[in-house]
Amino acid sequence: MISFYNIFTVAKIEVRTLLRSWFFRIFSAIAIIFLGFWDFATLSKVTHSPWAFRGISSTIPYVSIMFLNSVQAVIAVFLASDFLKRDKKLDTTEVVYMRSMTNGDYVFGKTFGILFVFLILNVMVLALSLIMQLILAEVPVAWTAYLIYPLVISLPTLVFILGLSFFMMVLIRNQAVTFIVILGYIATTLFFLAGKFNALFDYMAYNVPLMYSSITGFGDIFTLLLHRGIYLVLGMSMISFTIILLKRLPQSRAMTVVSRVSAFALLFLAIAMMVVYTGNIRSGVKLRKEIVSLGNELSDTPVPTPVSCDIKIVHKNSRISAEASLTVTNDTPSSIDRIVMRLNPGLEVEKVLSGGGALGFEREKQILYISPSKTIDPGDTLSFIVSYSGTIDEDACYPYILEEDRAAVSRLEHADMINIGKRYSFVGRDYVLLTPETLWYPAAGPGYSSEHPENHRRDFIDFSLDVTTAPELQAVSQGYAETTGEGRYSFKPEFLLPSLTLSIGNFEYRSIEVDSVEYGLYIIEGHDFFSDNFTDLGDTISTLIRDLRNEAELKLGLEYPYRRLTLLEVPIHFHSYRQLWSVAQETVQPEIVLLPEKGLPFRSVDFRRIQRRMKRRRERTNETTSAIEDQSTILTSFLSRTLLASASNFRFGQNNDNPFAFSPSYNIFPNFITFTNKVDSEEWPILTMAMEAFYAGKLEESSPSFVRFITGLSPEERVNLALSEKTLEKMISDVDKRDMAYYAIKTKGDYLFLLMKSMLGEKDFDQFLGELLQNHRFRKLPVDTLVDEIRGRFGFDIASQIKDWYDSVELPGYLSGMVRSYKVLDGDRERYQVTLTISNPEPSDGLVEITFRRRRGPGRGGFMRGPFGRRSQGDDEDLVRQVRINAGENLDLGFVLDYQPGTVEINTLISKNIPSVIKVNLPEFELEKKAVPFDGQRPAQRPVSFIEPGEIIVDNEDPGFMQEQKETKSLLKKMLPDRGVDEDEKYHGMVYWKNVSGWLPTTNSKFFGKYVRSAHYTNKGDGDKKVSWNAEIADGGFHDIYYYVSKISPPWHRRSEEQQFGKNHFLIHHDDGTEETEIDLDSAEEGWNFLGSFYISPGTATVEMTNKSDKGRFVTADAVKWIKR
Amino acid sequence: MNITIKGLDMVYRNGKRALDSVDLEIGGGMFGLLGPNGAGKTTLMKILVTLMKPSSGDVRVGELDLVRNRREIRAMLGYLPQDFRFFSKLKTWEFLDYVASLSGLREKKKRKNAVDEMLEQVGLFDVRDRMAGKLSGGMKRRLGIAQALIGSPRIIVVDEPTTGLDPEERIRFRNLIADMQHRDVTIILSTHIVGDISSTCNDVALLHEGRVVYKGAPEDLVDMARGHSWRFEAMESELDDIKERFSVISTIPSGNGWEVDVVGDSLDGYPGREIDPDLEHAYVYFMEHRIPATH
Repeated sequence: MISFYNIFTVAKIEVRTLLRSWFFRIFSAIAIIFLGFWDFATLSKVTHSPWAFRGISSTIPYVSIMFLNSVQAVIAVFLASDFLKRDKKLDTTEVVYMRSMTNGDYVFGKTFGILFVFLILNVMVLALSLIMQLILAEVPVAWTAYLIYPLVISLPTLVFILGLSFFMMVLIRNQAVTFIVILGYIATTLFFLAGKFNALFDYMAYNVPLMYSSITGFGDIFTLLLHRGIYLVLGMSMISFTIILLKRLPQSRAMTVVSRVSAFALLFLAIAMMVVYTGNIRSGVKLRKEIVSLGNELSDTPVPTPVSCDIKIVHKNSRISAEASLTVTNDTPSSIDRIVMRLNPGLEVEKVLSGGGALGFEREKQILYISPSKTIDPGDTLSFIVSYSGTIDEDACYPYILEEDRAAVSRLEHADMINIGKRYSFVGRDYVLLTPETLWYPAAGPGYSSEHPENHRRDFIDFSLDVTTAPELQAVSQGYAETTGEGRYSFKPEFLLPSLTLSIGNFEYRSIEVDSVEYGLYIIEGHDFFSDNFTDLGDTISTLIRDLRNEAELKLGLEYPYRRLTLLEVPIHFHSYRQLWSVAQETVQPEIVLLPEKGLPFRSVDFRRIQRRMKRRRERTNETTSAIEDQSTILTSFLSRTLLASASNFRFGQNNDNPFAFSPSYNIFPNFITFTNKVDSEEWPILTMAMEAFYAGKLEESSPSFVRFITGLSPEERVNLALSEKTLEKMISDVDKRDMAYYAIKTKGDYLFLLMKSMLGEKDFDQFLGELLQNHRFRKLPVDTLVDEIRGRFGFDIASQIKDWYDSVELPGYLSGMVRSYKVLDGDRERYQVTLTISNPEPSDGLVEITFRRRRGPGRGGFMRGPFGRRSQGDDEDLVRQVRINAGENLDLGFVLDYQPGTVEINTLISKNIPSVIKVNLPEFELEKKAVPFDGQRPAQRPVSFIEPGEIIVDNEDPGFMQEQKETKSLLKKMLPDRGVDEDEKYHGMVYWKNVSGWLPTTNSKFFGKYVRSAHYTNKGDGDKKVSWNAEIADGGFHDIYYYVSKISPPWHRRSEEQQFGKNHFLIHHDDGTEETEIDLDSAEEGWNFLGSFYISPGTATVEMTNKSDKGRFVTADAVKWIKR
Repeated sequence: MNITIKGLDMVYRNGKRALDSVDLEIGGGMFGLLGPNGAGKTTLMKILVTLMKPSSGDVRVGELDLVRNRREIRAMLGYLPQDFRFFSKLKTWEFLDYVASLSGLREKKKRKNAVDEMLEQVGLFDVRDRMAGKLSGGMKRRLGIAQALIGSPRIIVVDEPTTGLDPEERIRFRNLIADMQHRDVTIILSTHIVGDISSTCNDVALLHEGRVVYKGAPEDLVDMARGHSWRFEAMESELDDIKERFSVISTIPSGNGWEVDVVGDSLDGYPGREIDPDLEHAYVYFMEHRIPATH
């Protein structure tokens, strides 16, 4: 029936024909040259390729094959559809068709021929990568990856696309139409469907996690093989259909029957695999819904508090079995006759024992109900042992995360092509990672409730842990560690902990003790790519670590609480999410930081190249620094950027369409507060988070100013917009706005403590709070104690402030102005005086933070400094002051500085103001000999006015502002989703590299506006887009007309003067007709600029402006003012 | 190898009837299939080489049924289609090697010898490494013959083999065909050029509008035209009248006028002399004068 000889013969000829095709030759040559260059550029020492591409060697074959696959998937369509076209066109085909072979022989032969040629190309590309890697790479070659990637990426893609092309070609019988149809399909899957439906339609595997970890291999091999299998089988099915539909009389009845059966069988198999693939995902979604539902159902159930938890765990192959001995105390006012605990549903509870007898228990999803032999009355204690075994069901992790966030692709920063995948736990033969989120030991309570997400438990528990594993593996956890036998480890934390983490693997351990704290590093054996870079440091490491610790402690005013700090390497697939109730993420555990494999996402881990760059820079500038200095700088940079810096949620080169997007953080900050303190309040459960936010802000760096310039609004400003519509409480309960709720709690929390600080005095409050927290470490701090302590110390009732903070939707709004800056004589000293007036006309009290930034010399400024962050690391000498401004209050503020400030930033925190930070550049300071220094605040004689009597102003925010434009979008552009601009956004960033189709609102503190300083902008053009300001004129007569000029340049331009802005073109409508006029922005001053004086009768007066401009990139439209003479 | 065709019909999807109750018995040796363009010859050829399925009727090759025993029948076929011009990017020998492989010559060495021998035979050995697509028209035809012959097929079907060839290539081709007769094969030669088969066929069939209008020995066909073939000496001015009255076979310049060979039912008073007809006279006489009578 099937003749392998015939298949081979046909394939051989196909191979020969394809290899002689110039189309294929050119494509192959380009692919090899491009990828060879890419390999070289990535691995070569002379380039600056991200560490993400080089840290794990599997990324090289991954990216090479991915690149190749994306193109070969299109080329294969052409070649495949060409074969039937060629057959149709070539009369010589008849002399082949009439030979004795089955249609199957022929189609298989053709398929194998094309496949073989592409696989040769794959092999060549991989061979090139391999050679480059062997010569240039800094890490060992991942041989398995070279074998696996072509099989899981290229093979299914090619078989599918060949099958589809053959099938469509025999169906449509026209190459051009087939080509268009299939290219349309490819475009749809690539640009529209992409990763949707869990990447089910992504035949090229662009959105399928394919990262190969050198610790645990592929993240989820089953799902990966299932996904790739679907396309392999579908492709085979369509090849079988092609055999049936081929326009050649079949030769073998058996072959025909087999083709039909296999075509349908393979199709059904592919459908079945799809069902399993989506079913797995759906079952996960269902499980999480049930978990949340149970959490809601049981959220009011009284739960005893765990006091101690001693865990004995045995790890064998891909399973764990454990015994957890718990002691719980009923510190609720109710009697408890059923203990609600939770444990991962993948772990089966075998028995629960207490006092030698068995206790009844039940499982329901994550919940473990234990029936004690007698009711636990308030204050009573019960001890019991839970025995369980199994593995972790990762579907049960993070039930509080939105499913779309969970399904979102996780890509490697700086290496966007690399799709990592998400794993939350590992229980394998050689590697284990169990974090608290996996519920690997029984925890108290039902867990997350969507109705009360803020009610998150944080118990401080006396843990101990005994681990038994394979002799060659090592266990890592919190506390004092002892090896008690071969493969046996015991851990005893010195302090009460909220949670415990366990990892088992083939680790190497390095450690150093500095000031009674053991700083340890557990890395997987063979992963030491850095030691050689710090050979000269010696004892300096201790000093560096001490300095960093001191820096963190000084900023926070809190001591590091634990005896050790361990950096633990985890597989690159390990993923965590932001928690709503804490700034901490699963990546940071008490005294442990889970660092991603080889530090892949961190640029600062690329020690060797950084060292080389420093050396080159030194050579250029003729600087001389020692090796120790260089190494110190590099290590300090890595540690502070990784362990002390906040994560940015902005990524270059990506669509930053979610302003609240999550980015993992490895900041050790949670060790100071989150894991050690909890404000216990039933009424205001998010107080703990509020306090965390306040302290986290002390370590946070400002977001670079270019980020806001590009994204339009900062997350805090978005929160402000939302807070004017709903209370904090309501925002938290809105599940769909979960990301925003996190920022809302964080922003409002920060605000609350700043408010207290401003009321109670900066130094006093910091010291007071620090002491209070130190005294309540590892135990709960009742909110009443906090309120009482504040009342006792400062005589101030903070409870009413908290209540208002929690419930109010009223926001203050600030008008600032009358900024004056001059030198004053303070005794004999010349000092720098700045005065300004701030008004809060709104009926809500408020707080602003005013920061003076030093005037920086040339080369020291830069766009990395942010306008909306509160405190910037390294700005120690900048003056920062909080000022409370009550409803309706107008304040004159005076600041006397010892240095000359360049700018003053008024951070309005929570308010109606957008931008939330008003930035004012201060001019040169002239000495005013008679002026008296004024430092402080006093009531202002008159409020800051937004509009003067007799003025009519139409701002771009007003209804009188209108925009019109000619439709210039092509039909194709209209059909395709506009990936550049989200029409729903209230304000947009100014993205220089994108074209804007209409006029978009944007904000900047240079623009005119009451609270919202905004303008509309568009690309400069030939006048095809127009805006108009329309004012109702009551009194006829001559009017002076002004336009508000602001020169907006991106933060990466040093000075706006260097930029050319061109001219704005206006049409002024008045009684005598229309006057055309212009403002030369390059010579105009910022602020109101005179357009002319015109007679205007009562009615609507109009001024128009077009996007016509000969210079600059954008045209902005802000506000027009009419003043009757 | 006997081929028996019974009641063969072929109606295309557009309703065009290409073959109408064709009955034929084809024995060994060379069988000529004559007929004007559009008579259904190519359709019949394609059915015989299993490229096309008839609408109805039976074709048996020996004991084998053409539909049920495609595998066996294909294994004994060699075929040169009417058009044989466009090739994949293969060298002359590669193309022949490909076909040889598919025709069952599996052993590499034997196949190589067979290919070389065949190339020698058709006079293409010197251009064996030239891309097949770059051969001249005549060479391509020869390559066509070579591929049809390779693998020692027992039935060779050749469709309109000399169309478009120059006289030299045509003679060379006819010689090749003649050589084939020495093999123990059945050759079915379909053509509308009578000269292609006049001297070589044992049997001929005339196909007209899908039907077999004559089947028998070529000599019998020639006999039918005996007494109906004449030669005139005609002046230039008489040619038009002659063309109207008779079927003109040839016009050759002679002295002050033309020597014209014609076929027709009677001389109608023209001063001509009867000549011995050949197959061409017979074919024209039959198609022009006998078929209309049968319709």
